[in-house]
Amino acid sequence: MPTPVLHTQGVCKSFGDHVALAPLDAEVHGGRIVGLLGPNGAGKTTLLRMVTGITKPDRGELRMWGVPHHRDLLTRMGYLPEERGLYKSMRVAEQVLYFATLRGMARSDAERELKGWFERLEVEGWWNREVADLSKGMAQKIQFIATVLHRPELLILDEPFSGLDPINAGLVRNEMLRLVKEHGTTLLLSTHDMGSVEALCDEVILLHKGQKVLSGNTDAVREDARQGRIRVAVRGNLMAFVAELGARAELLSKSTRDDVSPIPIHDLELALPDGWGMPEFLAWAVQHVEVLEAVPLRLSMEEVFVQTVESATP
Amino acid sequence: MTHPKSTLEIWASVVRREYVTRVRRRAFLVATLLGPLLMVGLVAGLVLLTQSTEEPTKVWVADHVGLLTSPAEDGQFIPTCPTCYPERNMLTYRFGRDVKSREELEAEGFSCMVELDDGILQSEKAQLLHLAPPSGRAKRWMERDFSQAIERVKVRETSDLDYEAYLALKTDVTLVGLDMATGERKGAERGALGFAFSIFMLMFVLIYGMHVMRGVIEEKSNRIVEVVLSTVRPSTLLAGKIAGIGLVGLTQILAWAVLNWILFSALGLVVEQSAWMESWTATQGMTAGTADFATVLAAQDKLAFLLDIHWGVMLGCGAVYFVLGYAMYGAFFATIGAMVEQESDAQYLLLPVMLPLMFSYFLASLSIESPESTLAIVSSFVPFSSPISMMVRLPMGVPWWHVALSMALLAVTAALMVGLAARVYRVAILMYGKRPSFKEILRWTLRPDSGAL
Repeated sequence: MPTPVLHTQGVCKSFGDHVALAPLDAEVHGGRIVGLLGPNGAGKTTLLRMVTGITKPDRGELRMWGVPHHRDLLTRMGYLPEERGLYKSMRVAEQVLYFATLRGMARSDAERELKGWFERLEVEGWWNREVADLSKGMAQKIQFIATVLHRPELLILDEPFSGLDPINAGLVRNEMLRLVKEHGTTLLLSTHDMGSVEALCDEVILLHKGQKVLSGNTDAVREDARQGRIRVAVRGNLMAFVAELGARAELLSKSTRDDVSPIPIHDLELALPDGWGMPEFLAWAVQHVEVLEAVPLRLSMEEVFVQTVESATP
Repeated sequence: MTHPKSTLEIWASVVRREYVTRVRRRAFLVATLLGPLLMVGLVAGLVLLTQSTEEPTKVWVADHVGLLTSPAEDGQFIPTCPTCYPERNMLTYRFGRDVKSREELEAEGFSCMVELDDGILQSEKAQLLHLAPPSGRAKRWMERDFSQAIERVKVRETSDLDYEAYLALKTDVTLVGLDMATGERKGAERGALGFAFSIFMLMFVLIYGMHVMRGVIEEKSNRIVEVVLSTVRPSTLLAGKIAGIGLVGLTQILAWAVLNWILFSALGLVVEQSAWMESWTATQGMTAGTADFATVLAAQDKLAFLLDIHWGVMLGCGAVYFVLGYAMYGAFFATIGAMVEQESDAQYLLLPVMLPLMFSYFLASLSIESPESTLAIVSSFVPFSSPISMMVRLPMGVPWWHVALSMALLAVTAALMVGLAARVYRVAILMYGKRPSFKEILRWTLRPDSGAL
């Protein structure tokens, strides 16, 4: 197993009496897109601020690239906070270059890179314009460029698509994917938009009230959260089948298709108990009805989120 | 492609940004170039305005016993000493024996009446009855005119001298202060010059302190600060901001000094080429062309001191006091900025910063009259007032160790204040929707939390 880019062990943070982060153990591996999820106040921003060096943990260990976190590592990261702004009195390019120099980039390198980014994100012609003239979406794109210009190895984006129309969101999304694919950039994505989590994230970490309540591969998480739920289409005598099913599994819903076939087709949703997997169920079912289709019911990320948070809330 | 930068390099980048974005603004250029011209214009305008708004004073002098007047052929009364009442646009006299009623005065266009009788010879007091109070200048003129007239009467009645002989004997002693250590002349004019410097100091510290506060509020309210803090330590950002804006202030001071020098030299050239210069040289009994502007200045009692002032020292010390005083107050302003989300919220928090500044100004104004008083000396050492108070003392000559000690005290305090401000700043700057309480601020100052990485 390669060294994780980010590794926390027992990291906590309190503000006065408020516990923002209970002891947290988490890992983010290189070249992955990791979604950091959680309701408002779950501790996401606190964690991101620790990673970006804005605050320090009260206790616990925060290791980056295998070594204890220290300031020199900050130039290897790019951070786009949820609440972000630009200096109104500066010109667009000048501002991006300022951030690049702060992060240790030579000015000539930064200028060359910036030209490429201006083309890719379709903001040519804005180089010397005042920031005050930018529209909200345009400002978002400039902020994104300012975050990635120095080619960070770890890119931390908090709600990167907010304020962007679908076309611009697509532009930014493609650039994010390109960075991961071409440069092996690791992406830590904090968002409430579960659609983009499903579409982008390899892994997720779900925080709730300062604690990690769920983590792992996105597909696996969605799979695990189904809790044995499957959807089947069967043909045959439903009454007899349900009676036969009895307490073996829980029938969640049923519906009969409106078609002309002499023997009706029924769609059922079932919750299988532990130890009775799909193969065991099928082996049993075919003895009673004709099974046309059987798929594990995969939950959407949104359902996983709601279900996990609700079950974690007493 | 990137290499981590040292704190100093990052600080320098912050300073550069703060400096460049401000110096480039049109408002700064205009203020810097037009400032000195505007000031000269303002002073000139003020003088013109006060003169043009002043109503001419017409005085009825009711000389009951004929002390200062004698009857003329046409039944009018004329002053026995016409030269005592020089012709002036803003002040005219009419003389008579009897008082006039208020209605009469009004009808005849008088604004006041002076009643004279024998008593004035002893009491040296007379009553001025006015419909509208005369301006201070008109009153001073009247006092001077009557004094001279009464003096003539006294000389005539009590001695055999004629008035001219009396004037030749009359003596006014002026004490010219001379510092035994430096051999420099000291006078109230120097105090006034110092006070002007201290007003500038107050102005600059206030204006640039407010700049710091606005800069902090801008970063906080448009939320850029979180991005910046992911690369820059809060203390570095604060120190860079204070230094960058301070440099802008120094640039302006330097520009004003140069511009004033140019204006002054130009004025000198104009005077030297003027016809007035020729006639002046002639009245001084000098050969034409031998006198320059400096000679003219040297001959003016009230202005001669300008030539002895060590302008380099004044400017140098002024710059150092500005940098240190501004850094100290700037730290305060930055803390206030970090605590609020918009400028209007800062208003009432400004009081604790404005009070010591205003109090220093008050102390400085007291120091003009008595620059060697304990109050003046103490206030030029106390760091919160020294940048303003010391400016008044400087033109009068101050022992070098007074300046050195006062600067050292100020430097230590400024460093301490910036340090304390950074502790509050780094927590408050990321706090939204809630203003820190006094208790919290005290806790952050005394017991800093873990803070940034």
